[in-house]
Amino acid sequence: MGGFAYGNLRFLIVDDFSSFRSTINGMLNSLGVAQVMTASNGVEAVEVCRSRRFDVILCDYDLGIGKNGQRVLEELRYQNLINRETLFVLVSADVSKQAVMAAYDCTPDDYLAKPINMMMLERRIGRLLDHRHVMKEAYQALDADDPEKAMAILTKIALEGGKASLAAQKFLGELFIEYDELTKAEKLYTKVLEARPLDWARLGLAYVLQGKGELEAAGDAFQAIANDNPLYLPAYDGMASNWHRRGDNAKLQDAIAQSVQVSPMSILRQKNLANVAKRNGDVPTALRALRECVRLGRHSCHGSWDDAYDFGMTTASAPAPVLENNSRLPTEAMELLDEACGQYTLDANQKLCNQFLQGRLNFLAKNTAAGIAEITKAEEIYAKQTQQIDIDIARVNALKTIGEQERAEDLIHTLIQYYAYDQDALERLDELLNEPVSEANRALVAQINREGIDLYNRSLFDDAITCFERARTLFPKHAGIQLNIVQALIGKVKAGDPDVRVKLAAEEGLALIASLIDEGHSQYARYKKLQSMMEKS
Amino acid sequence: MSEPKEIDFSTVLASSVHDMKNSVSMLLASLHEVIESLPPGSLQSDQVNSLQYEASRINNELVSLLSVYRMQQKRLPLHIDAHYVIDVLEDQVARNYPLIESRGVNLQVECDNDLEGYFDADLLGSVIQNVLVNGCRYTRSQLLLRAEQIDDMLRISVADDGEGFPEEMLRNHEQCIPGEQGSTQLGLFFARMIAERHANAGKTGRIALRNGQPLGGAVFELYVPN
Repeated sequence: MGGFAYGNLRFLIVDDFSSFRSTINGMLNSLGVAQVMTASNGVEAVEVCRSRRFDVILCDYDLGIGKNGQRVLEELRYQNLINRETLFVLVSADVSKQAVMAAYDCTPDDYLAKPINMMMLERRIGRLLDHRHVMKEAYQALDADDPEKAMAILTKIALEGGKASLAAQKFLGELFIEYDELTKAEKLYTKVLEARPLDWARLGLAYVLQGKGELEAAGDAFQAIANDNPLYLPAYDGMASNWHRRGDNAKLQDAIAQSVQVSPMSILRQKNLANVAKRNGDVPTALRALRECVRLGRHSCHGSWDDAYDFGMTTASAPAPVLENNSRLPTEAMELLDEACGQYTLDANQKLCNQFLQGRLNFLAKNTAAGIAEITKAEEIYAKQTQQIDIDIARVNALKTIGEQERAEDLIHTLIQYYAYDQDALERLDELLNEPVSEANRALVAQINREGIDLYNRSLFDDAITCFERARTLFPKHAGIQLNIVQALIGKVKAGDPDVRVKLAAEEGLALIASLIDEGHSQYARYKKLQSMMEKS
Repeated sequence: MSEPKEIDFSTVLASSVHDMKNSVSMLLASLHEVIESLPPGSLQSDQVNSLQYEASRINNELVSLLSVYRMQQKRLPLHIDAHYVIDVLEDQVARNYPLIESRGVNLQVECDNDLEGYFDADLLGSVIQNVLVNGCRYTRSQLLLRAEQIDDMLRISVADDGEGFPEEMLRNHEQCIPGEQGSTQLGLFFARMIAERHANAGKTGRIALRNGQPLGGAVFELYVPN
C-alpha cells in the first residue's frame, strides 16, 4: 500500500464544524496533501464541485440545517459533478454504517465513523486509492462506452485474486446482467454461491432467471432472499421489477411498499409507490407517499414542484370517503402548493395548472365562491394561452369539481378531436374517460380481455376474474370489462359455486353497469342478456 | 389532571442514547486535539489520556446499547460478505491507536495477509473495538490481536498479560444477561449476539473466555463459521 503522490491529490472536506475541518486538514497536510478545499454545508459543497474536480471528498453526514451528506452525494451524482473516479467518503458519528446508508438511494465509496484519527485516515484513503488504481482502466472503458473491454479487464482482476478481486467479481456480475451476458453471469454467481449463500450472489442469480424469462422462479428467488434477510433492500427492488414484468400491480405495490418501509428516506422509491398506488386506485397510500415526496424533496435534487402538484391533484380527485375521513386534506394540499410555488420557479403552463388546482382545492375546502372565482380567472388566461395537455386536464378536472359536468364532457370530446394524432396526449386523456381512446391503452385492455376470455372458456373462472380485475384497476368504469367480470361470476354460480357472495358481486356489477350505459351503448344488448341470465340463475 | 401517556421506555432510551453518542463523539474529537497540543509525558497529558479512555468506554457502551436495541427491533442489518481479515483488524487498531499509544501498550497483530473470512465487517469490527479498549485497561503491557482458521471456523482472539478474567466471569458469562448480578457485561452480551447471528451450514458463531496462553492474562475468542 501507499506510494501515492499525495501531493497531487485534490481533497474536499465538508463539515459544519470548523474545528473538524481544520483537524482533518491538518492530518491531510501531514500526509503531504497540498490541495485541500473545505465547505461548511451542502450547498457550498455542490457549488465547489461545479468548478473543480476532486480525487477524494470527505463529507459529514449531519451538516446541520439543509442537505445532509447523503443528499449532497445524490445531487453530485445526479448532476454529473463527480464521476466514478472521485471517491466520496461519508463521515458520521452514527453507530452503524448500514443504518445510515441503507435508508437512501445511493451508496458512498466508503464510510468513516467519527472520531477520526490520522492512522485511520491514512489507512482508509490508502486502501481506497489502491482500489481505484486497480479499477481505473475498467472505469475508463465504461466511460468510453466500451463495456466489452471493461468486462475483460474485470475478469482479469477477478481471476488474479488479490484484494480487488472480490469487488471486481461483484461489479463484473452486475455488468454481465446489464449487458445480457446471462450465461457468464450465471457461471459467476453459481461459483460464488458454492462457497457461501451470499445475498448479492443470490440476487444476481435471481436476475439471471428473470433475464431468461423464468419469471415465476425469479420471483420466488427474490422473495426467498427477502425472507432470509428482511433488511436487504435490493431484494425488494428485484421483487418489484419482477411483479412489474408479470403485470401484477397489486403485488408490485406491495413490493415497493416493503422497500419504502426499509428505506423511508428514499424519495425515488416514495415516488414510485405513489405512482403505482394511484394506478391501483389506492388513494390513501398514494397521498401518504406523495406527502413524503414533498417533505424529502425539500432537501433533495429529486424534489420538484410536481410532487406538491401531484399531491393536490390526487387530493382534489380523491373519492368522497377519503375526503370525508380527512377534511383537512384540501387545506393541507393548498399549503404544500403555496410552499412549493415559493421554492421552485414555475413556467406559464405550470402557473395556469396551479391556478386551476388551487381553485378546485379552495372549492373542496368549502370556500366555494373563492374556488369558482379562481377557476373563472384561470379560464380567462386559458383562452389566451397555447394549448397544452396538462392544462387541458387541469381544466377538465376543475370543471368537474365545481359541478359543470356538461361543459367538462363537451371539452373532453373537443380534446379527443384536437389530439387525434397525439397518442401521448390521448393516453393522458384516458385518465378522464371510462374507456380508453389511446392505442396503447386500448391494446392493453384488449390483451387482458383476450387472456381472461381464454381462461373463461376453459372454465377457470377465478383466474378469469383475477385477470379482468387487473384491467378494471386501470379503467374502473369500463363497461366491457365490468360485463366480463359479471359474466365470469355468473359462470361460477352456474358451475355450482354455493357462495352467496359470488352472486352478490355479480348483482353489484350489473347495478354499476346500469349506471354507466344506456340503450345507445354498443354493449347494451349484452348487458340485457346477462341481466336475464342472472335472474334465471 | 390526566395521567401522563404511557411511553415506550426503550424507544425513548434509544433516541436519547443516540444524542449522547453524538456528544461523546464530539468530546472524543476535542480531547484528541487537546492531547496533540500537550507535551507528551506531562502530568496533564496523563490526565487527559484517562479522560479519553473513559470517554471511549462510554462511547463503546452506547454503541453496544444502540446495537442491542436495533437488533431487538429487528432493525440491525446483517451483511455477510467475503473480507480480508487483516483489513478489519488493522482498521480497529488504527481506530484505537491514540488510546493504545497513550497507555503505552505494546500491541501485536498476527494474521495471514491472505486470510479471507465471511462475516459482517462492521458488526465484527465493533466487537473487536470493544475488546481492544477493555484490553487496554486490564493489560500490564502487551496485547495480541490474532486471527486464524481453525477447521471450519474463523477465530479472532485478543489476549493480554494482565490478571485475567475473574473466576466468576469465566463460569457465568454464557448465562449472563445484562443487568443481572450487578455487572452489566453489556459488551460481552453484544459480542455473543453478534457472533450468534453468524451462521452457515449448521454452524453458529460463538465467543469464549479463558485465561492463560499466549500471554498469561485474559483471552477473548470469537468464532464465526468460515
